[in-house]
Amino acid sequence: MKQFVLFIAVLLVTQFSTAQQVELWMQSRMDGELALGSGDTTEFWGFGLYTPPIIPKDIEFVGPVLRFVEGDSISVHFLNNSPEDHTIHWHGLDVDQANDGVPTTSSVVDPDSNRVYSFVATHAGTFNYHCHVFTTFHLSMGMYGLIVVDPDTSRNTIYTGGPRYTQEHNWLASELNRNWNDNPISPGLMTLYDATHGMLNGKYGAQLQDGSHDIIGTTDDTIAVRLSSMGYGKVRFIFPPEAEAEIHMSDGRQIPSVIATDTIDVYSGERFTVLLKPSAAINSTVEIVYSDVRSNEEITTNEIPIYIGVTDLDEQNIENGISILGNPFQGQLKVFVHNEAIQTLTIYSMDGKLMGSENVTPGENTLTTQLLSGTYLIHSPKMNGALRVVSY
Amino acid sequence: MNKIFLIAAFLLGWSNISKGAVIDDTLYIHRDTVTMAELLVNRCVLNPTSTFEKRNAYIDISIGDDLQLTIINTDSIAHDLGVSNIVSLGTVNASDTVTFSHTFNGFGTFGIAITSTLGYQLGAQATVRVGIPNQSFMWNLWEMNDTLSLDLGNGITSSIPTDYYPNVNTINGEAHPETVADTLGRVIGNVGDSIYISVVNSGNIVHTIHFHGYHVKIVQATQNTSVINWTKDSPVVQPRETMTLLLVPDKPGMYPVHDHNLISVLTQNSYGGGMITNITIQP
Ligand SMILES: [Cu+2]
Ligand SMILES: [Cu+2]
Repeated sequence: MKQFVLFIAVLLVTQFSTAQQVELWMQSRMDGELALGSGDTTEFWGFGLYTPPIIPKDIEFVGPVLRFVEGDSISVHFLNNSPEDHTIHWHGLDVDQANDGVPTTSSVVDPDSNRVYSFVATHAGTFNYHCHVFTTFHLSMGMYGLIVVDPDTSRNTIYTGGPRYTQEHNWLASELNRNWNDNPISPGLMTLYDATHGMLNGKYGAQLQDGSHDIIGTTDDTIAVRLSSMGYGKVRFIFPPEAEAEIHMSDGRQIPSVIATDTIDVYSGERFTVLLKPSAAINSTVEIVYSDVRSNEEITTNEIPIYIGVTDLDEQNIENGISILGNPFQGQLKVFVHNEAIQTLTIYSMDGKLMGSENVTPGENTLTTQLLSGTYLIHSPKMNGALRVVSY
Repeated sequence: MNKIFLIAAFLLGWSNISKGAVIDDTLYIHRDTVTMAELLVNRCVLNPTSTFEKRNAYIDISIGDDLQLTIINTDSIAHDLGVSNIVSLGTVNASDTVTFSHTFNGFGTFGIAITSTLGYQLGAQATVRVGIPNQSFMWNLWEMNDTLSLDLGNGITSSIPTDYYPNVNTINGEAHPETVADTLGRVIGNVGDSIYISVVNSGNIVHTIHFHGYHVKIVQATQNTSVINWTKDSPVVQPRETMTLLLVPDKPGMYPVHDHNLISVLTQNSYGGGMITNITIQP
């Protein structure tokens, strides 16, 4: 036993000293096409990562999430692959003046030109990047993204010495004013900005109901949710009370004392790190309400499904209508269905990826899976959450 | 600790409390039409003299001071006053003069504001800085729509409509780049300095102040007190909220600081105006 403990200690030490030199290549383009659903599209400008020497056309709405480790020295090779000036401002990372990305105090990157931005990620937390040329317009066109700085490569604490989480969700809220995206040549008076869409990670409405953003877990989980807003109004996140949301960080810094609250208002440029420690089964949604700060009127609401299962076995039967027979399992997962309304069961990975789905009938069912070893969640829309199953 | 020391400490404490001085000051309520951020607006202010200035006054006092404030109303209508939206002081009728008294027992940034509708909408709020050290700066924020302000001033309308599109965005009465020439607002200092910034939102909407280059500590706030002692790069200031920020620069540089609600960094239709100023830190 002693030898085993020692082995773990060595492993931890080697994992924790992981700051390094990071190089990445980013481009900006002004020819993005954004799908708004039902065949409807609009234009966007944005950022994308690439691997030199090949420069594919890909830019993303919103920009790719950049992930660094606290202490990393980062070099971003930025290619402005477009006909107008752009920059990258590292919002909240407090970089030196030359790398700050502001045209008047730093410099712009001319069309078809490039430069290297160099900085150190000094603090763990949530940050943003965005173009700072004619920002009111360029940011709105789509030139922004999220940055997560982990305290170390183990990626399960929110700051050094801070609480651990078992799963995470990174949510960048923003707005779309499609009147500008439809007609970037002559957008009209900037002061007349009006958001037409409230976005989360570049999607809105039904686009967020495809399972890709669902929070699926159990009462054993501690779920980190990083909130950020690049919109121009107020974004209010409302979590179900049983999710027991707590604010632990804001703007890339630990806050002096944890705040327990279901409702978190995020204004333009702010970030919050929230931990959910669900206390009961949840089959509900996180409401995201976007409002205009001038009129105080609501623009739109997005809903993110949240399914939390209880891990107590007795409660599994009563609350969920299924029992897991033989957990952990290998290859074949036996499930007893008590509730005839449950007709399909779906298996998700812990980070919310859909792994498979099968029809079931009341009584004993055998689901054949090809899951790698690990923990998974089994869920049905008729269930009061999700149950944790372990494949080995 | 002996008895004599305890008595001395008690006397010291007692003399500190009683040391609060009586401070006499006078402010004028002026309302006039003036050009701000290149547009003609109706503007209401609390000024230190009988001459109209588009910038609101500020008063520096010590903790515990009793401010005896004489308000001379040069406007044609009555105005109600308060210590921001914390304490109501009373009414000054048109062309009348009233003296109010308020003791400021806490450190930080406060406002002497017109709380009745028109003066509030048109941004009348003076800053009272209580016990703030010498190296300090002040941002008194006001946003408005030019046509709306004229309609409000003429009594054509009396409320901010839901289709409110501010096009006049100011710090201490100026829009960028004029804000950079304002020594009260433009932050200049050295690495390691303790720089206090008083932020006063005299506008009608929330403003989020984004710092480039540095995080600041919110050392005092009058509305969202849960953020006191938070370190942020984007502090949020609600309408009529007053707040004190502490900046201790860790590196030299010249950086913008601006409202991150990006419709507020416009002067008319041109980007790079409005609520932007500058922080310049020498080594
Ligand atoms: Cu740009
Ligand atoms: Cu920003």
